[in-house]
Amino acid sequence: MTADYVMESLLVAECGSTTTCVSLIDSVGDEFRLVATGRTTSTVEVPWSRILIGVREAIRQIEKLTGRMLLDDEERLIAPERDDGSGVDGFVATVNAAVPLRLAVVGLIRRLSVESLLRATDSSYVIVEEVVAKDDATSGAGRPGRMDGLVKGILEDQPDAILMGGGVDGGAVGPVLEVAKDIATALAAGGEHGRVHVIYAGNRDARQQIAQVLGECSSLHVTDNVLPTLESEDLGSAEEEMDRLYRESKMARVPGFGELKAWASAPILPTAEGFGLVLRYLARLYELDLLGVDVGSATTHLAGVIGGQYGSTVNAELGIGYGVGDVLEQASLERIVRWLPFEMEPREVRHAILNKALRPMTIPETREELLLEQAVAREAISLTLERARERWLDGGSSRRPGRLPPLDLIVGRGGVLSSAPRPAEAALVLLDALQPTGVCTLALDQSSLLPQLGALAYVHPLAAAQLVARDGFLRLGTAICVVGSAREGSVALRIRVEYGDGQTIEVEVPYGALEVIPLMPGRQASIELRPTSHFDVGLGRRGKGATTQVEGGVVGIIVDARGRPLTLPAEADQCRTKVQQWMWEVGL
Amino acid sequence: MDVGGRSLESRKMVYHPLVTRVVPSMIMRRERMLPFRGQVLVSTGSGVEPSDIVATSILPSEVHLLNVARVLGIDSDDLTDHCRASVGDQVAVGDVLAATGARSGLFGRTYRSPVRGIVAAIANGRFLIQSSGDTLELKALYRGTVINVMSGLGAIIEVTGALIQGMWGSGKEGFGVLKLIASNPDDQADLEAIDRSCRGTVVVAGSSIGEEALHRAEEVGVEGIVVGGFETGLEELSHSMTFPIVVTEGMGEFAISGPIFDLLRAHEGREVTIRGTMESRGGAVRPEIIIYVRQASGEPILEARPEFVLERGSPVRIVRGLHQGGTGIVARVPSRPQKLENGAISRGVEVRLESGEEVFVPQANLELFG
Repeated sequence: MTADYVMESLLVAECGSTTTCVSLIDSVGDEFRLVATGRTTSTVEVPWSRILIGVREAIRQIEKLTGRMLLDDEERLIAPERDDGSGVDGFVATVNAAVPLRLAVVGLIRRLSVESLLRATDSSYVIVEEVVAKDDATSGAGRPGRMDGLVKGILEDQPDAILMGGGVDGGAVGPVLEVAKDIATALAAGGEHGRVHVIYAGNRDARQQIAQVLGECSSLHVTDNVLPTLESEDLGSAEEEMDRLYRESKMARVPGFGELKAWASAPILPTAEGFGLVLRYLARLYELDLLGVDVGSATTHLAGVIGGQYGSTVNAELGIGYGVGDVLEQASLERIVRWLPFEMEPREVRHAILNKALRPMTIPETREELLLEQAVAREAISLTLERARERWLDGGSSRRPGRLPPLDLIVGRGGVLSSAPRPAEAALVLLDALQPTGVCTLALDQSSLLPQLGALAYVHPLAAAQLVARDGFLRLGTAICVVGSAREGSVALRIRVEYGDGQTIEVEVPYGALEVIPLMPGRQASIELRPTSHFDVGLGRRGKGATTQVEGGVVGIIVDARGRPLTLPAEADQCRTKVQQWMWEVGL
Repeated sequence: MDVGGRSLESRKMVYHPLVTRVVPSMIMRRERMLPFRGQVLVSTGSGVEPSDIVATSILPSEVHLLNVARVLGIDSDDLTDHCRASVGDQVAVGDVLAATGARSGLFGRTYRSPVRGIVAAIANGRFLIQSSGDTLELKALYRGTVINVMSGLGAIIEVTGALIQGMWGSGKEGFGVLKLIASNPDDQADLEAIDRSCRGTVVVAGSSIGEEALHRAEEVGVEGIVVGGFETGLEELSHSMTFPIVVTEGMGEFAISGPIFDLLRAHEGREVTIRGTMESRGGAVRPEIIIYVRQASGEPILEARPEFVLERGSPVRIVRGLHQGGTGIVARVPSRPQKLENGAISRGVEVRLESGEEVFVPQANLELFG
C-alpha cells in the first residue's frame, strides 16, 4: 500500500506468536490519539496457518467498539479513509511470530572473536545452538576435536546460519581461512549447496579468499569484522546482517506474511526492533537512562539506553508460553516456586508449566495460575538480565556488583505484565526481577502499542511522537529503591511527601519492607528522602539524603526497602510468608 | 454504517480457537522424509503398507575432518591430483587416502586413514569421513498411496482413515491393532491388563499410566500407548521406551475426552498408526493416531484449514482453569468480556458441560473438536 495522501487515521498491529493486537489511531482535535484496541489469539500455527485471520478478528473487535467499518465485504482493509468515516489511511505492523534463526557461532579464540560474535547475536531473534572456538580444539583448553563436532552439527542439525569470525583486520588470514575450509568441507558433504547461510564477520583482509572457499557451497554474507582491533569491537554490521537474514528467511515465511505486507504502509518490523526504536526515541527526547522489558510467549526482550548507549538482548528461548519450558529448565523449579505465596507440589508446578507450553495461548483463570505465570516471568526477566549484564548492561562493575545502573524509567510490556489484573502485580514483578536502585519511574505499555509506534515513525513521525507522549504508557508510579542491609525491621528510610495542595505525610520504612504511598496519576509531589546510615537511595553514599519531585501513577510511590541484591528466606515456609507480606504491602 | 450493502450490525464476531482434530473419516497427506539424503525406493502411485520401506540412508555416527593437504605439505587445491580414494568410497583404517610421489609410494608422502568409514567429501584439502553408521530404513508407517516422491529425500503418502490428534507425544512411531484396556476414559492403566495379548497392539490405557506399567508394556512388546494424562516425572523414561506414547489431554492425570474415547472404542480391533513426534512452532506437528476405518460413516473430508469457528453449538474441550478437562457444547456467546476469578477481564463463552452445568470459560482456554 502506498500512501499518496495525508494519513489521518491508522491501524497499528502487533502479531505475536500467541496474541495479535490491533489498535485504531485517529486524529482527535489537533493530535493523534489511541481510539480503540482489539486483541485476539494469533492464527499463525496450524490449523489456521494465516496471520491475517487473527488480525481481521482484532479489527472486527474495533469495529464493534467504535461502530466504524474498517473491512469491506471481502474482508479487505478499507483504505484510504472514506468520507463516511469508514476505513483508515494507513496500516503498520510489527511481527514477533516467526521462529528464531538457529545459529552456529565459530571463531578462533573464545575470549576474543567468539565473545564478540556472541555479543553480536544478542539483539536478534536467534538461538545459538553451537559455539566453537578453534583454540578449544588446539590449545587443549576445551573439548578436543570441537571442529569435528561442529561439522557433525552442520550435517545433522542443519543450522539456518553460521556466524563466523576471527582475526583482527590486517592480521594473519591463515587461521580463519582454515576454519572456513572446515566449514566448506562439511557443507560439501551435506550436499547443502547454498542453503546454509554463512555470515563472515572476521578479518577483512581474508574476505576474498573466504569468498573463494565458501562462495559456492553456502549463501555467503560478508560484514565488517566484529573485532577489527584487539581494543575495539564493531558489532553493528554483523547485527544488521543477522537481522536482515531473520526478516528474509524467518519473518517473511510466517504464513500469510505476504498478505499482511500488502496491507502495510511501512516496512513490517520485528517487534524487538520497533520496541528498541521507541526506547531510543524516548531516551533522546527526554534525556533518560531507561530500560524496557518485554515478556512474550516465546521471547523475552530487554533493551535500554544507558548513558546514551543503546543495548538489546533478545532471548528467543525464554517466554511465558512457548518458552515457558525453557524457563523451567534454565531457572529451576525451586527458583520459580520461591515467588509463590502458597505451597504448591513440585509435580503440580511442572504439570502446570508444561501444559502451558503445550497450549501457550491459554490464560490464567485462578489466582494460583496467575501468580505462577508471574513467577515464571520474574525468572525469564532475571535470566535475560543476567545475559544482558554479560553482554552490554553495565551492572557487573565492581562499583555496583550485581546491580543495575541508576535508571530514570523502566517500561514493561507483554501480556503477563500489560494484562496483569492489578497494576501493582506488574510493578512487583518488575521490582523483583530487575531490582532497580534509586528513584525511577515504572510504566507499562498497557495498550501493546510501543513497538508499532516504532514502525509508525517511518511513515508518520508526528503521529508516533504524539502517541508515545499521550497513550504510550500507563504510569505505575515512582519506585524508590534503597541499597544496603541492616537488622530486619530497623528503619531504612524516612520519607516526607509534600503534595501539590500543601498536605504532607511522613513515613518510616523498615528494612525488608515495601511501602506504597498514594500519589494519583498526573499528580506531582515533592519528596524528601532521608536514608539511615546503612542505606543509599541511589546517590552513591549511604545515609545521604535528597529532595526530588516525583510523579504519581496507578500504584503510587513505591518504596522498596528490601535491599539489593534482594534475598529471599531460604526456608520455604518463611519464604512464602515473606512473599505474601510483600504482596500485602503493595495492596495485593 | 453501511459498506457494500452490509451493515456493521449484521457482522458476526468470530473467533478461531485452538482446534483438536477428532474426525471419523478424513483424507490426509503425510510426509515421510529421511533425516539425511539417501535413496527413495517407492514411486508415485504405488500403494504402501505401514511396514514397507520407502527410503534408506546411511546414518553417520562420527565425522572426521582430516586436513590431508596440510599433512602432505601440498596446496589445498592440488589435493584432488593426489587422491587415492573418492567420495562414496568405504575406507578402512590404514587405507591410503592420498599420496604424493609415485603410486608405488616411493619418494613421496602418504596419508593413511586413521578411521574406518565412508568418504563423504573431499574439498579444500580435506577429507571428511563419516564412520559407517547403521543404515536407516524409513518405513511407510501409513497404509496409503504414494502421491509424490522427492528424489533422495522422501515421499508423500495419501492416507484415508479416522484422525485423532494428541497434545503431547514421547517421540517415535508405531503401527498395530487398537486395544482398549480401560473400560472408562477416567480409568488408570491396569497393570494386570497389560499382558501377552497386548503384543503388537496400540493400547488405550485410560487417564494415566505408571512407571511399572510402562516397563510391562515394553516387556510384552506393545506398539504404542494412548493415554489421557502423563506424569512429567516419567518424561525421560518415556523417551527411552521403544514405543510411542500419545497423550490426548495434557500433563497430569486426565480422563480421555469423551469424543476421543468414543472414537477409539468404536474402532477397537482395527489397525492404527500412532505417531508420537511433535513440533510446537513453525508449522506445528501434533502427535496423532490414524485409524484405518474400513467403512466410513460418510464421505471422507480432505484435511485442510477448518471452516468452522467458535459459535453456539460448537463441541469444545476446556483446557485450562477451574474446569480443565471438561467437555461440552457452547451454550451462549456473550458479547461482553467478563471478569475471571483472578480479576482479569476476558472474552469467553458459556459452555454446557456434559453434566449439564453451564460455566463461563475464556475463549483462549477452549479447544474445538472437529
